[in-house]
Amino acid sequence: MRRHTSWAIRFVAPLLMPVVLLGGYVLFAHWQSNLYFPSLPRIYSAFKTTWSPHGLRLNAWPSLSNLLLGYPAGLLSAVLLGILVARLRALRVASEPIIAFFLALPSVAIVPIFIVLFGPGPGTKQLIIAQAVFFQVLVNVIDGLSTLDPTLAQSADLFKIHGFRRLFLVDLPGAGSQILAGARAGLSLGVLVMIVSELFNTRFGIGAVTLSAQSSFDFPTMWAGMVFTAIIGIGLNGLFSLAERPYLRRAGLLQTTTGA
Amino acid sequence: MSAVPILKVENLYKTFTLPKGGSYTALENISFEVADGEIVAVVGPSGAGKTTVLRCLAGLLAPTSGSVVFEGESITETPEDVAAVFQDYSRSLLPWLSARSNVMLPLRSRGLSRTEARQKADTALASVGLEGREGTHPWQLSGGMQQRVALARALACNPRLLLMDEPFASLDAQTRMDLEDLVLHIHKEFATTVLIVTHDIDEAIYLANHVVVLSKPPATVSQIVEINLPPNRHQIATKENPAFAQLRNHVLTMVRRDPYED
Amino acid sequence: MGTNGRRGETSYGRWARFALQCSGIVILAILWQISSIAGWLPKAVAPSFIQTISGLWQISHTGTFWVGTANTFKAWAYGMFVSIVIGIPLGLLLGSNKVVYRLSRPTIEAVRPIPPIVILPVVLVAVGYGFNLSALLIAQGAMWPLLIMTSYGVATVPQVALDTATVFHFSFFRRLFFVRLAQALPLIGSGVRLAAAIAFAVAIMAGLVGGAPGLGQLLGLASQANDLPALFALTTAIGFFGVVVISVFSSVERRLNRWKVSS
Repeated sequence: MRRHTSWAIRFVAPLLMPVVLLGGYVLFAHWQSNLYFPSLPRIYSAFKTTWSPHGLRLNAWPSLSNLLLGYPAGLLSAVLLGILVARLRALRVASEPIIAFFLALPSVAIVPIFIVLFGPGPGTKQLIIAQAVFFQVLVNVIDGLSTLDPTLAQSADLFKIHGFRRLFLVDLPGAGSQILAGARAGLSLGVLVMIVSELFNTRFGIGAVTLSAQSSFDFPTMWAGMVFTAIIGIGLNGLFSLAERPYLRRAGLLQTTTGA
Repeated sequence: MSAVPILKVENLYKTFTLPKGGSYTALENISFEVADGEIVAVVGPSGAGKTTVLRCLAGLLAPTSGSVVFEGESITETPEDVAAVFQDYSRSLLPWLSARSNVMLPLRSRGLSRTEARQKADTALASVGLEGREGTHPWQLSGGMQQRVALARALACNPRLLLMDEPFASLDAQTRMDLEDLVLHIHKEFATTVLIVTHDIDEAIYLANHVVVLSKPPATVSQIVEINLPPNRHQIATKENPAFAQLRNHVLTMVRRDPYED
Repeated sequence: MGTNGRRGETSYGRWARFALQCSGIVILAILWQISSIAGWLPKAVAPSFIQTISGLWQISHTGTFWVGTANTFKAWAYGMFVSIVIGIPLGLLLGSNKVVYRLSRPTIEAVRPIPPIVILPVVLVAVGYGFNLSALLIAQGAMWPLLIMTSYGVATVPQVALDTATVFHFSFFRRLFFVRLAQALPLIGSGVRLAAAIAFAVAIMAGLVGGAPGLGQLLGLASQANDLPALFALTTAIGFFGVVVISVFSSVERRLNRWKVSS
C-alpha cells in the first residue's frame, strides 16, 4: 500500500494540476465560447509557431539572457553585502528599516523609474532583474546569518573556528537553507520582473510578444505566450530544485519532508 | 595523579539582567578545585545553573565577579587546552561535514596541515570506537555515535581539561552506560582531566573522584563529596558495592533538599 | 545593555536599537541630499531627497493620489477577502486528510512558481481595465500562500493532540475547529501576512501593467509622461504603504505565534 501511494505522489500528483487546468480550460472555453478562449488545438498551433526555433531565438532568448545575467548579479551581490552586514551588528540594525522599505516596495513599482532613467535597453532590464533579486536574497542572507543555531555557534567559538573557515564551513552552510529559500523566491521574482520590464517599448521578448498579441487581438498567440511563461516559471523552479539537491543531501536535509 | 589544582574556581558569581528589567542571580559564591588528572562531576537540581558554571569555565560566559583560574592563569576566553562536549550533539556537529571533517575542523583552525589533522582525526575517531565510519555524516549516525564523534573532536585537540555538559542526557540508558565507560577508558589512556555536568546522580558517582553538589538557584556549593570507590569502575560491580548506594543516597538527599528548610 | 551573551558581545537595548535604526535612515537621507547637491547625483537622474519629500507632500494634497490609494486598497481588500474565504477553508479540508494532503502538496507546488502576471493578459481582455481585474489577479496570487500555509498547519498537527481529541469523543467538526484550526493558527497567521504582501504587490502590478485604477495606474501614467519627480514621489509612497501593510500583518502574525503550542 505504501509503495503505491509514494508512486502516486511522485508521478501522478504533479500531473494532476495540469490535467485539472487543461480540463477546466476546455470546459470553460466551451461554456464561454468567445474569442478570448480559443480552442486547445488553435493554442497549440500558435504555440508551435511562436516558439519555433526561430521564434525562440527571436523572443525567448532576449528575455532569458537578461534573466541569466541579472539573476546571478543580484544573487552574488546580495550574498556579499549580506555577509558584510550580518557581521557588523550596528550596520545590520541601522539598515533594517531601509531594507524593510525596499522589501515592502513591490519590485514592479521600481520598473518605471529604471525605464525612464536608463531607457528600455537590455542593460536596464538586467539591472531591474538584478535589483529585484538583490533585495529578496539580501534579507534572507542577513536573517540566516544572524539567526544561526546558538549551539552551533557555541561549539565553533569554543573550538576557536574563526575567519574565512568559520564563514565558509560553519556560517554560510548553517544559513544555507534560508539563503536557498531566498534565492528561490528571488528566481520567481526575477521571472516576474523580467516580463513586466518588457511592458515598455520592447519589441522582442516573452512578455513583449504576449502583450503585443493581446493588444492586436491575436488571442491564440497571447495564450501561447502565457503558457510559455508558465512553463518557464515552472521549469526554472524545477532546475533550482535539482541544483540545490547536493547541498540538501550533504546537510542531511533531504530526508525530511519540506514545509511550506 | 598529582594533587596540583589544574582548575581553581574562586568566589564565582553570575548575575543575569533580564530583558524586561530586573536581575537573576544564577551563581553565588561558587568555589571548588579540580586536581590534575581527576574526574569531577557537578550535580544539582534542575535549573540550578550547572550549565552556567560550565560555560564560565569554558570561557563562553563572563562571570559577574570571582575568578576562574586554569593552569595558573585567569581565563578571559576559551583556553587552548580546554575542549568541550555538549548535550545537544545533533546541533553541535556540523551536518554538512563528515565525521572526519568535523573532527579536523578545530585542528585546522589551530594551524595543523591537512595531513596532520586527518591523521589525528582518524586516531581520535578510532579511540572512540568509530573506526571505519570516518566518512559518514552525523545525520547518518545514531545519537550515541554522534556523541562519540563530538568526543573525538574534543579529544583530538589533546585537551588538558575536558568539559562535558550533560553529554549523555539525550541518550538511552544502554548507550549511556557504554559512553560512560568510554569516558573512563579515555581518562585512563590519555590522563585527561574531566569535569562533567550531569543530572544523573548515578552517573556522577560512577565516574567521578569528587562530586560538587550545587543548591537551588542562586546556586551555591552545598558540599563537595569525595568518592572513595575503587578506581577500576565497572557498571555492575561498582554499583553493587554498598558504598555506592550510601554515596548515592547522600548526594540524592542533598540535591532534593530544599535549602530553606533547615 | 547587558553582558548576558558571550564574552565581548553586548545586546542592544530597546532604545539603542531604535536610535540606530533612526540614524540609519538619517544618514541615508543626508548622503542622498549631499550627492544631489554636489552633483554626483545629477538632477536628470534622480531628484534630491528634499525634492522627493516635497514631491510627496505635494501629491498627498492632490485628490488623484488619494483616490488612487483608495482604489488600490479597495482592490486589495476585495482580493484578500476572496483569498481568505476560499484559501482557508480549502486549506483546512486539504490538510485534514492525510492522503489528500500528500497528493495535493506536489500538485500545488507544481503550479506555485507560475508568476502572477501570466493570467493577466486574458483577464485583461475578458474583464477589462476595471476594478475586477485587480481583484481577480490579487485573489489568484494571494490565495496560494494562504492555502499552502493553512493546509500545512492543519496537516502537521501533532498526533498526540488528535488522539486526545478522539479519546474524548470529539466529532469531526469539533476536532477540526478546536484541535486542528487552533494548532494551525500561527501558520495561518504567517500565510495571511504573506498573502497580504503579495496582494499589495499584485494590486500595484495590475494597475501598472493592466491599467486598473489605483496607484499602479498612476505610476504608469507618470512613466508615460516621463515625469521623474512624480515617479519618485509615487514610488516612495507605494513603498510606505507596503511597509504599513506588512507591519500590520506581521504584528498579527506575531500575536498568533505567541499563542503557539510548542511541540
